[in-house]
Amino acid sequence: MKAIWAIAHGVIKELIRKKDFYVLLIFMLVLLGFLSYQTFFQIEGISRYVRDFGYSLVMLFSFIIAVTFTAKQIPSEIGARTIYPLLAKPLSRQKIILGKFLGGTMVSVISFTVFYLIFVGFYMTGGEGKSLVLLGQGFIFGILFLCMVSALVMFFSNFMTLSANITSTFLIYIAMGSVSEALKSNALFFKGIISGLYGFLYYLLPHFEFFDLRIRITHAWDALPLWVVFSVSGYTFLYCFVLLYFSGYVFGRKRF
Amino acid sequence: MKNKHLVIVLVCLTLVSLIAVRIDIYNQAYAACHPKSDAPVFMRFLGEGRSIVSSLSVLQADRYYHGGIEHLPDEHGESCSIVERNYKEHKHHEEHVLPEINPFNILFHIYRAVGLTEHVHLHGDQMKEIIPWLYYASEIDPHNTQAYTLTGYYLCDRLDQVDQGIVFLREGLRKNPDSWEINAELGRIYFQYIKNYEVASKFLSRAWNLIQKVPHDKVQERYVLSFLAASYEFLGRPTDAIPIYKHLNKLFPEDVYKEKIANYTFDVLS
Repeated sequence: MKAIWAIAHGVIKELIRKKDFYVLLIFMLVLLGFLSYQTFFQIEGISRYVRDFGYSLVMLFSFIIAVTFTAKQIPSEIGARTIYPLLAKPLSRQKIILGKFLGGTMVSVISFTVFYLIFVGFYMTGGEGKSLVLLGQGFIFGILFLCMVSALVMFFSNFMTLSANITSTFLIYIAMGSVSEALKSNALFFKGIISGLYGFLYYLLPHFEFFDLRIRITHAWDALPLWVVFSVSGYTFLYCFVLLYFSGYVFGRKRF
Repeated sequence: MKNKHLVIVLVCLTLVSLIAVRIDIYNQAYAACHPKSDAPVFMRFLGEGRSIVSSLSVLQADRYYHGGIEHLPDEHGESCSIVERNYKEHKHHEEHVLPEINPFNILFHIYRAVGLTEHVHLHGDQMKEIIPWLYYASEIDPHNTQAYTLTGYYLCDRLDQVDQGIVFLREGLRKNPDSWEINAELGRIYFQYIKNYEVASKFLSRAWNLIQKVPHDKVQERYVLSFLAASYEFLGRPTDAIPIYKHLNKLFPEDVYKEKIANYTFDVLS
């Protein structure tokens, strides 16, 4: 466990050293500050669009950090040849993958927490229908989302170059927003093998849309029932476990 | 060797300055023929894509009206899209029957539970939440007349900001002088809220002239003409109102225009 934590700690240090996080943080502060001071036709108390933008920015920026930081881990070690001393240590390859995953996830979760706190600040200052339960659920779902993204990126790093990995993850993230509904509808509409095929694809692809509480938070809908929170958490842990297991397996068989 | 480099540099500089003069002449000639857009620089980058982004902004306003959810037209009994406003309370069709899902199909159940399907509308003061999207739609594409008329409608009819609505519509008219929609909306607002029938009739008769130059349907024609005829009526000009009512009667024989015509014809004759 110590070894995994040591690897993760190295990744977290990278977040502090690099400027990506600070740039995104300043950009978010400026944009949200500008939006919340905007007035339209002297009408007071317009808040939903600020919440909408705020939540979207939090998720997008955390996603960017999760993808870029996690995707760099393995290729940069190979590129700088620092992978050899790492492999020479009494450390299994699976643990290296786990450490890198943990580092990527923690980096994005730390960034997400800072972004989310800023968003909560703007959320609490105006508008109707404030719900702390929903905010809490949004936070939990954000963390689960970043775990899943990091696991997926870590899995892809075994097969792809850095840029291909980042592009693929972004494409999957964008595509799943619209493909998911179509897959589900087709699985329910068709019968037999075709239905099974759509169902299989549905279960195979990562469902980032499960974690998106933007509309609920923006439009003050009811909080999710507890069973959904547990189910989504279970789904995320299972999906991450499978991805990391195969990542460790492939990485273990790799020759350097 | 040094002289050779100097010559090359001088030749390049001469060429650049000659080309620069030609480009400048071309730019000035182009600018003279094409009036400069008053849109911000980053908006100009979007090019023709601005109209698409602007339409998406109007759609987003419609989603806000439905609590953030997109609704298909067949989900509405009467029109309840913000772009098809008709001053009526909306009646909903029966709720959609969702297909049954196997109890073991956990992901489908999660998807259904996370997603939102309830049909809601903004009401009262909440209506202000759609205004930013409509405002940005008009900012992104100043020729999106729908964005102006919708903003005008929501400001005047739903948010009691008649003055703001008129100022905004006049700004829209300045940018789209040939828009019958904005003229008609201004005419309606002057008729309904300001009660200035003279100004209302001017806007509405301009709208009537403009609408005849573009494809339109009879409902749109009725929208302009009914307010125009009523304006003439309030101005005490039945001779101008009667032909319009007759025209409306031809378009919609089932409506109340026959009665109006009968009354006015009697008034004029007596």
